[in-house]
Amino acid sequence: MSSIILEARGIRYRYPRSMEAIRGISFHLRKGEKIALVGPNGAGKSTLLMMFNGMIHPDTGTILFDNEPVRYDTASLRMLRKRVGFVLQNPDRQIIAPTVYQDVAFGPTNLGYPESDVKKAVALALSHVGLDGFERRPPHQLSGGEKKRVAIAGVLAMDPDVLVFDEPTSGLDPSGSEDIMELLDELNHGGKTVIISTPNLPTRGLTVLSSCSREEFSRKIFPKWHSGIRNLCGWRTFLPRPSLNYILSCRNVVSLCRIRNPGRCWT
Amino acid sequence: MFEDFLEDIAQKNGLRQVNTYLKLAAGTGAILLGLLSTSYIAPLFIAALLTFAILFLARVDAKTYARLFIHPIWFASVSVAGIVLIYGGSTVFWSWDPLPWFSLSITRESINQGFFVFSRIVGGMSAVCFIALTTPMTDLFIVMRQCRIPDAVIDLAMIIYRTIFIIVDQVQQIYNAQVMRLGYSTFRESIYSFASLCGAVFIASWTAGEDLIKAMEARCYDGKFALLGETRPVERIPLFAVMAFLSLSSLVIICSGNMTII
Repeated sequence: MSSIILEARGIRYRYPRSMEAIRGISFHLRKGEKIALVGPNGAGKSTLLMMFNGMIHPDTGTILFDNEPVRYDTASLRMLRKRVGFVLQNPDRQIIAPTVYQDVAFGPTNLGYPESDVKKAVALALSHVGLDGFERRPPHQLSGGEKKRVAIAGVLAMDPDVLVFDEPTSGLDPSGSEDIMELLDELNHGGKTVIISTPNLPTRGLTVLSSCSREEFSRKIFPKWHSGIRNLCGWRTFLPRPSLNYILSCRNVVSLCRIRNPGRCWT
Repeated sequence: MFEDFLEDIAQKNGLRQVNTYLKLAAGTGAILLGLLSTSYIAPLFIAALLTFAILFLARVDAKTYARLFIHPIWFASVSVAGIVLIYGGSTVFWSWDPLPWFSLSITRESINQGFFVFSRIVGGMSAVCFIALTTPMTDLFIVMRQCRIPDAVIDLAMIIYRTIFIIVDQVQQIYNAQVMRLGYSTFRESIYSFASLCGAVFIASWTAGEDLIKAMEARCYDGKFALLGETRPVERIPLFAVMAFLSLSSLVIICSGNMTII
């Protein structure tokens, strides 16, 4: 079993003048795993994801990266963000430069790579996401799927160990979603640890869950209701209310845990 | 939207692959020659050549090019009308003294001067259009850095450039949402809708700004912005074409001297 790369211990977070977004979440992620964080809108998925690269500081609890508690000084955050790449839900909010090349080169440049290395990193990242030849294109001329790929390439160019995707297929058509999920599979097979958030398990979850059949999925994930499940779209009924309750292991689908009570898992 | 429109044309025009410095030399050279000329002929000659280049070499749609000219031409026409009426001169064709201390007149000199100014505007506009329609901003950023304009200025310009399209998109979406719900059906409703559009766009820009900072921080922003530093090579044919254009225009300036229309 590979070592733990990312861990959350008793995380709580409340937005200023707002309700508590995360209540005492604990879980860990091993190197090379691919995990989907599943929950309805407003469940706190994005908030939790933003803690992984230090964008949000939990009120209580600890985030550990490589078994070391995350520190929030500038130098430590730079190192953390180099190793934990974050792809935002809306690529328009992530793509900041006027051309694809400049955007993908943003991370490596700020990490102080020499120009030749920046060019290599950009070429490699663009080729990885299938956007060779797009270097000079301005982002506003790209389709939604292409923008998403540019955003992913921008993170890949920094060669992180962990890739965090906030709803990677939102706003994409089925074919675009399929392409993105295939890309995530490839990245995961290439050794990257991948964590995604999604509110929409039946379609996107099953795409990720390529290692098991629909039957196996329903049996393993919902053993209590297995006999009653004919259509997985019914999964929503199992989510009691908008709070972050579930995390699903997608690579080796074996458990559905109540995050508030990590000891209680169905296997 | 029109901003999107212009930049899209510049990204796809037939002269996209020509070296940026050559295009800028042609455009700025045309503006300078237009200003140096003392006759209406040279600016019109420059306008004709650049229009040919825009329509047939850059392959820009003629209607689009004409639309670009409409507003400046209106503005120029009003200005020229003012010049023609108040410039004065010795050969008077028509005059009117509405007040003891104020008179309007149309003279040979005022017509010549008005037409000269008008031709300069047309020449200058076609030069500006040539640059705008053939050279995308993304190429200009590279030139700006090579010209040693401070990095902070270029970085800011690039962020503004990128953000413009996001905001314009937001404006379009909000406007469409308002129109679909009859937001501009009456004058009163239009005022209210426009005000709420401005408010919504302000909030959207504020959020976009915050997200921008987050996105930059997430990728270790340290005050650096990359630029694709490669410029396209100077090829022989475009170089000769630009040289021929500038030489020919200079020759026309010299030959036309102080020639006037009447």
